[in-house]
Amino acid sequence: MVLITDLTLAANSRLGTCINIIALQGFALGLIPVTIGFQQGFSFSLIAVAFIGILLRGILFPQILHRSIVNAGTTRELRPLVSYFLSVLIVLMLIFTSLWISINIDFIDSELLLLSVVALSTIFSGIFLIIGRRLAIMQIIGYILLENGIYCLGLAFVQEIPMIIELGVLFDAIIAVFVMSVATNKIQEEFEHLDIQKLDSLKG
Amino acid sequence: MNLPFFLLLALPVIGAASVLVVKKASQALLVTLLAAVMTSLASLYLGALVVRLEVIEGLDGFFRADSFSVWHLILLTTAVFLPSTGYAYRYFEKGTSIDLIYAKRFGLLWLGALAAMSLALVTGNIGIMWVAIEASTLFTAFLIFRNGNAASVEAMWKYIMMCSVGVALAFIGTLLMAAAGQQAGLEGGDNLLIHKIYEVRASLKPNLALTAFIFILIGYGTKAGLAPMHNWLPDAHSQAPGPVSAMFSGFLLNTALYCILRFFPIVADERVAGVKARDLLMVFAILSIVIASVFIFFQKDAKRMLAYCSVEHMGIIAFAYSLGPIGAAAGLFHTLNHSLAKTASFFSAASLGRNLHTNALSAFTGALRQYPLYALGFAGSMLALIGVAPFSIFISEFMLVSAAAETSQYLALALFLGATSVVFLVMLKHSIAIVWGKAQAVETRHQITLKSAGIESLIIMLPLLILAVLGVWKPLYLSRFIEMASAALWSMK
Repeated sequence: MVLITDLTLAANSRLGTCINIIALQGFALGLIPVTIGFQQGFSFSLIAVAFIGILLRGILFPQILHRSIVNAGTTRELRPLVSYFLSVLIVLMLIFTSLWISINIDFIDSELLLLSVVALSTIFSGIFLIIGRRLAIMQIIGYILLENGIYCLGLAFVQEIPMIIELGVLFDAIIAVFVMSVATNKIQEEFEHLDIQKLDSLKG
Repeated sequence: MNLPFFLLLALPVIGAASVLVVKKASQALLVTLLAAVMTSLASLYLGALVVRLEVIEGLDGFFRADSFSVWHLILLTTAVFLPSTGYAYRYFEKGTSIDLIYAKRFGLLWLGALAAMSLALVTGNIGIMWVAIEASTLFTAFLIFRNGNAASVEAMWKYIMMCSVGVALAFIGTLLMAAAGQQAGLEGGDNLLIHKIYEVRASLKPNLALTAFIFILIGYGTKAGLAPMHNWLPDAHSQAPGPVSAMFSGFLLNTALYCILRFFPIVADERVAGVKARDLLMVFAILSIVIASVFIFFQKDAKRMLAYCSVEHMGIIAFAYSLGPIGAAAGLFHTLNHSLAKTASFFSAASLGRNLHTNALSAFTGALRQYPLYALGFAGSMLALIGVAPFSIFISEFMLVSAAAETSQYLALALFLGATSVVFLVMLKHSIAIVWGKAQAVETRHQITLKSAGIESLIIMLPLLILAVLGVWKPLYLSRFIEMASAALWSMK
């Protein structure tokens, strides 16, 4: 599920659609702790984290992003640095690389293997989107992808993360997305576009 | 023992809250200044407690302060943050040059950054450490921004993107380290406590711990301005208002480096990664020094030059620590010296640049006649930064050289000496030009004298005076505290 969303993000040019996809991924991620709960029993903190996760990743992030594209008036990424076809191929390659890495990490339980693949490939595709797209908003989406991937990685590698840290990380992520979207508004005001490639006056 | 920690964190938060309710820009700046003074006092109180008790913990290791963290805390709040706040009060002309909204935003973000970075320094939990560092990135991002200035928006965006992604990598490292701790038998949240991980370091899986450290080094290294992840730094430092640049250089970079150093003794243990980890840190350190020296050589902008100088000095500090316990004293002392000199240099460079309406180094030539205080401050702090005797950076760099020679790191030592000599010559040339050069167009003598500058002359000249005194006379309790701090880092007692 999450992997499919990674791929569609790489293939899509419409910002609005991308935001909806990232919302979908947020929901899917929120459900992962619930499935763990079915296997190992529910606890209060598990449910709280899942609930808050869905609320923030599934609803709040997309809201913030939708607002900034309305402000910016751009609806699609026209000339990405890496073409869409190539992007899909690259993300597919990243997924296989993650599979290879996960198999080679010796300490992972076999049931968490899939989760680790998902985590690594989401992290990689997040970084790829940040590098390979011109629009500031797509970079924010890449950042959210990176955060989501790290969250999965936490679930796969370290099962016992205290709730306060889980929440602190989520809180930081939400503020980060908020700050970034305010920053895109400022870029829009100053430059009248969101093309990061043209932000190159500071050198040396 | 929770009270000192709560005090330390609550004071800036209360200050930030009261900034929001004031009615005038000048009041907002005053409240900010007051909160900075109180927080410095709280950090001194914490320091006094640590001197007596060695280690204080609170909330099951959530808070943890030893002499290594307190050394950074006192230094960064009292010697960097407080003067920077005082300078901000002058820089914004007691609030007359800015509107209320800007003043409120400044106070809020400024104090928020203080709270976040102090938390990073006094927590024993690596998860909370990450949360605090990320929070400090977010608080400081909008400090770079100035209304109607396109270049500052560009600098801000680079800063947010590079540091958020970098620090996200550090979180991967944190998770891996926690996973390693869990496999070594730590349970129930103990796998996030740095001193517990240190205790079980012998049973950590070496490869996993080293991978974790690589992520942490690259992640926090981005924020500490280590090359080659330093690209955001000169832009942010050159575009931000003067006090913000000073705080970035003196406080923010050191805090991020502190986080790396906390993990370093764990992986540098012979049973974990040993020499590999030391070499890794050393490579990044030397790379920073060399790359910075190249950019300083070609630099035409005063604030950008100081920014690259920060990259260089972060490299020097990291180099000192990478030599192992023997270099820690040099690293600790150099942190103090660099912070003092760098804040003074940013204050005077920003004031010069502001009065001359440009930051170009060529325009600073002969500035002594027009602006004696700033020109003396800038030239003096540049001399201090390149390690001219009697300023104490000479002493700490000498300590570093002898430590490197003792551990036979001759290649690194040669690169270090070569790069610093380049910086030495270039910055010496600039400071000579400022003092003895002929100004291009001598205007009427400006009315800023030592007396009218008031608080400004104090915060520019006092650090230089302290550096000069420390160069010839190092108080006994200072050396003993440095010894304590280096022991606290390497044995984590």
